[in-house]
This record gives sequence, structure tokens and C-alpha cells, in this order.
Amino acid sequence: MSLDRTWDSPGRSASVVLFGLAALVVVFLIVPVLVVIPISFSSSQYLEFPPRGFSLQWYERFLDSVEWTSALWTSVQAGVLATLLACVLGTAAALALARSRFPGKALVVGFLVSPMIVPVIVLAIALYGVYAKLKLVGSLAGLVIAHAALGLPYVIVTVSATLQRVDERLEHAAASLGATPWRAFRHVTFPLIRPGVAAGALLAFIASWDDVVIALFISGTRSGTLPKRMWEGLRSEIDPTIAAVSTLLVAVSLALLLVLELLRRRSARLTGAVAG
Amino acid sequence: MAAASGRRGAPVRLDGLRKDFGSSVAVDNLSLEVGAGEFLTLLGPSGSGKSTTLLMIAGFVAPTRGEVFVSGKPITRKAPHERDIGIVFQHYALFPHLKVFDNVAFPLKMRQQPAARIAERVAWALDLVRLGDLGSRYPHQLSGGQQQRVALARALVFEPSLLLMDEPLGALDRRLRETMQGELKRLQRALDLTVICVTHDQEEALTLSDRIAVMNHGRVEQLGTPEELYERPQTPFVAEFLGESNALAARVLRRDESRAVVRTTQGLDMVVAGAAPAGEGEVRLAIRPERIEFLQEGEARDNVADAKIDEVVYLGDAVRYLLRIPSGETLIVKARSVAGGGPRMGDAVRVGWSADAVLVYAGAGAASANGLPPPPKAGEGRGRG
Repeated sequence: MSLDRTWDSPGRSASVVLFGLAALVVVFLIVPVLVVIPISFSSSQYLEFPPRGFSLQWYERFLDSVEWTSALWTSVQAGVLATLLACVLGTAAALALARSRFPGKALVVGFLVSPMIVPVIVLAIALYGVYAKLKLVGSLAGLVIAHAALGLPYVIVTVSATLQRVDERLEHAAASLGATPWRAFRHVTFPLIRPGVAAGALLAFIASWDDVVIALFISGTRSGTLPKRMWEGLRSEIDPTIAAVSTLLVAVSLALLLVLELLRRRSARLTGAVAG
Repeated sequence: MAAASGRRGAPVRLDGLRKDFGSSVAVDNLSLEVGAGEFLTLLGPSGSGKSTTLLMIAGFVAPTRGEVFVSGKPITRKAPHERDIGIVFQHYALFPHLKVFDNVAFPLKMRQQPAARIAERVAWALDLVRLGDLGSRYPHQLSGGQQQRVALARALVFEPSLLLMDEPLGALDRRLRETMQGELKRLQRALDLTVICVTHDQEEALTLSDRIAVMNHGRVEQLGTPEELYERPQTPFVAEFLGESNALAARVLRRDESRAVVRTTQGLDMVVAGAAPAGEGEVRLAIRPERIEFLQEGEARDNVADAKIDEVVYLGDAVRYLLRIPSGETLIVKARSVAGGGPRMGDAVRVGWSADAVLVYAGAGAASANGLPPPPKAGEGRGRG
């Protein structure tokens, strides 16, 4: 018994130590990010911490500047379009992988999720080489395609996971009841994998929203994304507008992660209900 | 029940169906005909090819060879959604995100029927399975029996020419099974449905079917009515799979026109009726446990043996005994239970069975039907012929 106890519960003091360590790690990781938030509301003209007074001037500066707002618009466009593309292709790929057997399947899976594994800089250099030949450098289309490739693995992984919980017999049932393959997908499979698709979409959007490396290589000087504009801004002028933009980026990412978590809980509840 | 449809089930013909998976043959040259309005069951152990056959009829598995005909027309090259076949799946495969009404309405929506017609047909189908008031529930809010009925309503609402069922009652508890068996039979007769059912459950097969095809290794071992299969199984496999059987290996000692005397490998001699397979060869015997009786002092049968009771299993309406006879054979005997109890464990008894209770098959080797290991050779005792 005593042996079991030592294995099962490491005792009160040990768990306090563990908690303390975890808290330290969190503080170490999160605090630098949080520092930009008060700075963004600073009334000072310089990046300084702690800020002396409160003002929204840097947010005003951000919204008044065409450079910044056009970068925001590019980011939103690229994010939304890339997400759509990644969702359509990723869901189709996940379906094909889940519902059919063919030689070299593992190889195809590896190939499709490789953008998640290959260092982004390698991907960026490769894309730049190809895009230069295709004259896609600096175009929104090029950016969308590249970001879709970045988001595709997330969609494939989340949709595949959801598909595994959807009984193939439901699709057979739909077919036996007169549904064409497309209508079986639309009326049966898709509603059941929707939480997975949504989760994949959010992750794909975040992948695009956060990307700076690929954008640096292939988006044009005029049509850069928000992270790229920040990168360039940091090198020339250092003013608290960057902090305001950073706060915006963090807020959007955080909001999306929150939505993701809500979706996950909802889907867990739904599948629980199905099983019960 | 609302007015039943005018349509009746279609005749079905399977012609030389074969399915290879790699180098193994799942279904081997299967041909059979199912009459309009007939309830036919494919019965067999797992891996016998019965489910593959069902999937080929439904269109989810393409046959390597052969053809499926419904109403005389080949459907083998049609996609599943073009086949007009209703299927009740194992575990029902109800759409979890749709209410009962929308589950049942699904096939009608796929056929682009007007809303009024859909409402009318769904009401008819739900009444048919006595679930008229549950249309607004979700499947997970229903009991297993109710889900089963929804699956049935959904498969019948579009008046398919053929209904396929895959282990339809497998997931229900015993009481519910018996009720549903009755309901299924009633519906099938009332609507004149052609039904092909797949099951490994012999009781389900016996109670529901007009005819049963017992399958083994991708082939039909025997096709016939439940009574034919049980009373006159044509192969040891059928004798063993359908009901219980004492399986024994034996050799023919001597014969005349109407009877033969055989000796089992352990040395029990017995008289068997009918023309035993020709030649001196080895034979296989099967005796139904309920055809062996306990004998009182002075009673006689064609075959008699002394025995000791090794095991008694009380089944309620019957008692199952495991007997050991001096030659070393083990016999299963099933007798109706008697108030006050029959023989007990360890009792010495005398049992007997008539010559025509012994089914004789050509071929060597005893198939262990009842799953018992072959009994150990014990002594040189010899039964009386």
C-alpha cells in the first residue's frame, strides 16, 4: 500500500513545488508579452515602461496611418482566404485519407502535414524560388496560397481526428437512403465533422495571422501583412504604435483560442451525447 | 396503421456472386433466389461471407464476379444511392444530429418530395413502428428498442423494393428481442416485404425466416426452411451450427438396406437408420441432445448406453447434462426440466436413442461442434449396440 501511495500521489510538499515551477514557467513566458499592453496605452512619446500616463494616442496613430491599416487589411484578407482554401482542401484530403485505402498513404499524410514540420524559413525560401518563376511574388494570391499550405496540416489533423469518431456506416446509411455522395457529405458527414473543421479553420487562421517569415519573403513592399509591417517598423522608427499593434494581434489570437476552446467543449458534449 | 402502400417486395436473384480480398475468397460462387415477399436469412459464423454478401447487394462492395438482380433487372453496376434498397444497419446508424422526424424524412428529402407528402409519409412510417409521438426527439434520447424502430421506419418510408438487415436485433436485450421479432414478422407480412437478413444468431434466424441459407467459408452449406435445416441438416456443419449436436467420428461395421452399425473411434457401437454412405469408409455422426432420453429400468431403444453424469446445467425450461459413457465418449443430453429435479451430478443413469436420431455424414474426422475438446480416451469400455 505504502509503495502505491508514493507512486500515485507525490505528497503535498511535492505538489506545491510542482505548482511553483509551473507558475514560474508561465510568468517567464507570458509576462514579456503582457508588458506591451500597458506600453500601448502610454501617453509618452517613447517606448518606456512603466508608462507615465494613459492615452489612446498610439491606437489613433495606428488607425490614422494608411500604411498600418492597409497592412491590417492585407492580413485579414490573406488570413480569411487562406483559411477558406485550407479548409476546403484539408477537409477533402482528410476525407480521402480516412475513407479509402491506397498504397503510399502514410507517405501522402507525411507530405501533406510537412509544412507543420519543415522549418518555416526553408518553406519561405523554397516558395520564394518558385514564386519568382511564376511571378507570384508580391501578389495577394501568392500569399494566400502560401498561407493555405501553412494552415493545411492543422485542418487535416483536426478533421481527421473528428472523422475517426464518425461511423462510416452513417455515410452508408445516407447512400442507401438515396443520397448522392455529395449530398451524403453535405447532410450527414459535414454536420458531424463541423466542430473539427471549425477548429482547423481557427488554427489555420492563426497560422496565417502570426506568420512573418513567409510574408517577409513573398509579400511585396507595398502589400505587406501586419507582422511584416511591424518588423519593418521596428527597424526604422521605434514608437509605441508597435505596442498598440502587438496588443491587437495578441487580443485577436487570444479571442480565437477562446473560441477554439468553446468549440472543443461543445464537440465533446455532442459526441458524449451520441455515445450515450 | 395508416394505409399501407400498394407496392410489394421484389424478387431477388444472386447469380454466381464472388468476392476476393487479395488471395482470400470471401464469397465463393454464391447463387440463390429470394421470392417476392420472402424473408430469407443468411446465417453463419463471422468470416463466413454473409456480411460481404449483404454489402454486395447494397452496393458498398463490388463483386469480383457475378450479378445481383432485383425484379429481374441487374443492379450490380448501380451506385448504392440508385438501388432503392432499404437497410437496417447493425447499431442502426441513425443520424445523431437529426431529430427522429428528420431521420425518417431523410430518404424522402433526397428524393425531393414535397413537404406535405414528406410529413404524411413520415407520420405513416412512425405509426407503423408505433413511435408516432417521438418525432421531435434526438436519437440519443431514445432507448435501444426505439432506435431500432426508427431505423426500421427510415428504411421503409420510401417503400424500397428490398429490405436488408444486418444483425437487426443483436444490440437488444432478450425481452426486447422477442417483442421486436414479433413486430418485424408482422410488418414484413403486412407490407409484403422482401427481406434479406444477416445474422450469426440462430434463434433470430429460426424465428424470423421463411428460409435460411447457412453459410460457411463463403458458400451456402444448406438452404431451406428452419424446420428442414434443424431436422435434416445436410452437413455436419449445419447440424452443429444450428442448434446443438453431439458430433462423433465413426466407422461403418456392417450394413443392410435400412440400417447400419457403426463404431465410434472410442469404440461405442450404435445402430443408425437410413442408407449410410456407401463404402467401408469413415463417417461422421451427429445426435441432437434432446433426442437422447433417460431410460427407466426395462425400457429399450435402438441404442442404449450406461453413463455417469458429469455436469448439470439448469436452463429453466430444460436441463442440459454432460454424460460420460464407459467407452470414454462425452454426450450432451437435453431434457425437459421436471419439478422435484431429475438426475443429479454423479448419478449413474441409462440413456437411449433411436436409430433415426443419428444423422450420418460421409467423411472422416469429428468436427467439434459444441466447442468441447475431444474427450480423453478412458479405458477399454464398450457400449452396447
